[in-house]
Amino acid sequence: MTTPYSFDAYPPPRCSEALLRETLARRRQRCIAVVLALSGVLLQLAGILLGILLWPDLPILAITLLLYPLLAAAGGGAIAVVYAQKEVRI
Amino acid sequence: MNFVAIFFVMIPFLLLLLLIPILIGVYVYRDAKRRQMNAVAWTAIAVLAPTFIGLIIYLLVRGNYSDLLCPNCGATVSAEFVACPKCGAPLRAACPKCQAPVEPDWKVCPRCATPLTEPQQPVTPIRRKDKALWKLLAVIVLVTVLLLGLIFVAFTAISGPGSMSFQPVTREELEEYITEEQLSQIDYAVQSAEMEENQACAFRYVHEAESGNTYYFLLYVPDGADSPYAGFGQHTTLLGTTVEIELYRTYKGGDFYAIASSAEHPPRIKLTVGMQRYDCQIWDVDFNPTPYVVEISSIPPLDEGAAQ
Repeated sequence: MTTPYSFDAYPPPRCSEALLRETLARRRQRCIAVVLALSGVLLQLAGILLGILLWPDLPILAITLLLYPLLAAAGGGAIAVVYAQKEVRI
Repeated sequence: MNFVAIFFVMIPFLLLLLLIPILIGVYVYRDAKRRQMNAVAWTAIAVLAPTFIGLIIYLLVRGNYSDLLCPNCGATVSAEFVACPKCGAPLRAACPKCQAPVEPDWKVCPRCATPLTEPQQPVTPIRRKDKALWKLLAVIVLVTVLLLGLIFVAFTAISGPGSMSFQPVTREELEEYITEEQLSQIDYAVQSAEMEENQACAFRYVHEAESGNTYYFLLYVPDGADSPYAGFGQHTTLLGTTVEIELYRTYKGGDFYAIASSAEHPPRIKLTVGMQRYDCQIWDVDFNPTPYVVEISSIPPLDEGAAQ
């Protein structure tokens, strides 16, 4: 059977409880970040829809609701660029 | 304004929107304090940064802290501790000679090369579970889904039936179909509207029927007489039904306009004269002030005693 790792040629990678816990924590953090980002996008969507609904009656509030996702997206983009340049591993 | 929509959509929407930053603030403040970070600054960032960006950043950059507890006395301990600093309970296997922490499967101490022959039985520290973050996530997801549901309900609820009619009414026409007493009532309101700038007035009569209410308005517009253009329309949104009237400002004095509107809730009047928005004061009257004829078939029949 071919294995992805040649245990005969190289010593097996060091695996400790601390390493496994670190991997688990990183995966958990990634999952949380994805859930939060998705919730943020859905909230923005709710804001846009409410803005469309309120446009005829409360135009100022509607504009605020429609501009908010734009500002949030711009802010999020800027932070993403900074993190990408720093090569922060999520 | 449709108060049902406000109470069941707008207020829950705003309350739910406020609930999320409050929960995030409480969580971040407590967590940052436990990790000996600047709790106030991180709370402000997490709460104020839009769409959870602040919270995500905080979760990425927050420092490590010991989530281990001594099973004997409950004191916070670190993974490197050989023994609990409070009660002295052994937490890790240690070299009998130099007391350096060793792993259970090691044969020799890496620091002093002493053979580790005697198996040791240290107590395993208890790991404190952080369930608050998962609860916070659950609330955020739930609230988001709930908000989208509310918006969906609002979108489907706004399509109500309704129509409107609009026509100018001259003073002479008005005198033909209403009594002098009613006319004096109208004149009084018209005079008070004339005294204010950008102020119109309307007299509303509600005709209730099983098939739906009809709202009759007699609208008085100062400086709107003989307008060469009259735009009108009715639309229903989340906040109710609005009747929109657009006229030219002619400076030829005021004029009357009759409106008949069938809508689920009393419509608001949005009046624009010469690109200028007018406030419209509504007076409820018990007679139909418009030339529109009230549908006879929809009037409830008189009871027998009253008929005799």
